[in-house]
Amino acid sequence: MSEITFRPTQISDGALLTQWLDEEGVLDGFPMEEASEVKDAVDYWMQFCALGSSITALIGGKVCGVANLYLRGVEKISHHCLFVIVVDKAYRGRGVGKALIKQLEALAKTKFGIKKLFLEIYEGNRAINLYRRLGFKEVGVQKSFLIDQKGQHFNKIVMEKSLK
Amino acid sequence: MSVDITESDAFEIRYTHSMDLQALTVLLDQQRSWFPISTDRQREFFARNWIYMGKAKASLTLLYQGQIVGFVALFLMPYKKTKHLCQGYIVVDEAYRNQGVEARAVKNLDHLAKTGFSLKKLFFKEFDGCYLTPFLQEAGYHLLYKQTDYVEIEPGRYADRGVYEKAFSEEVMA
Repeated sequence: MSEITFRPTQISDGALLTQWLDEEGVLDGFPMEEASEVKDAVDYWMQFCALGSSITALIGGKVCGVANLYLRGVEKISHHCLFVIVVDKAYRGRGVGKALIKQLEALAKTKFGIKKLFLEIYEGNRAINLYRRLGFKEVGVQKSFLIDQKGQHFNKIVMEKSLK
Repeated sequence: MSVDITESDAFEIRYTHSMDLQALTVLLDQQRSWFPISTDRQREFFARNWIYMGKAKASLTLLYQGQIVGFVALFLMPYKKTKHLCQGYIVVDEAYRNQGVEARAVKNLDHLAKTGFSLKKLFFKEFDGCYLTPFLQEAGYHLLYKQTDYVEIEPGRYADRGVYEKAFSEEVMA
């Protein structure tokens, strides 16, 4: 199996990210529902390329996942940060998610001095098992945070990990 | 509470308009500890976003004897899947606290959420020790969870942040 490599995310990666989010079932794990919402979310993510807080994973030179630290630039809350990760369905189960998170943790700690990472995940998303294995702990649940077009409710789970 | 000024005819509530920006900026400056604001630029940005909510009729201005004493706002969520809920914001001038304004602010924001936007739940994110927390709890908001050491109040000293929520519909009852 080819090795996973990393580089800073480039704005051109946004097209692939949009494509992955567009695949059937992927948006079940996200608050976005419509194409315009996905576009806004991807455009917002790509703004972080300039700050160097987004990283892209590649296997055999092909982009297979991206992860971002949503830096807020507010001094008194700059010791922690929300992050998000998306892995191409075709590359799932090959350790890309784990490698991306490890890389993001290192970036958070060394480049941005972040002491704690947190994430928001919606109930039913199997990635929660990966986060648990990597040491993220559940700190809270907000019930019925998302209600989709079918009327299905999804609870939001907040998880944290100290990087100390 | 000494006197409840909200019982007075001199107390009024209206939708926030852009002319209120300066007063909101002053109030936000007064209580930076309770908001994720570190610099004047961030305060300006936050105040302008708040005023923007006024254009959507999602912010109210509270006045006593013609003077602005507080603001409440619903920061509307950007996604369809989250259109049933919202984060609320309240600021009350420190000179008018404990005179009924906080309770009235929560009550009116609840009303706006239910009647103006058909929201099914409203939540607040409050730092530990915030003067508004007892009023939220009194109005039926309950603590969902806390994130420890969320805000660095001063170098090396941290406070937790609590998420308080109230459901208006059984469908989304926590």
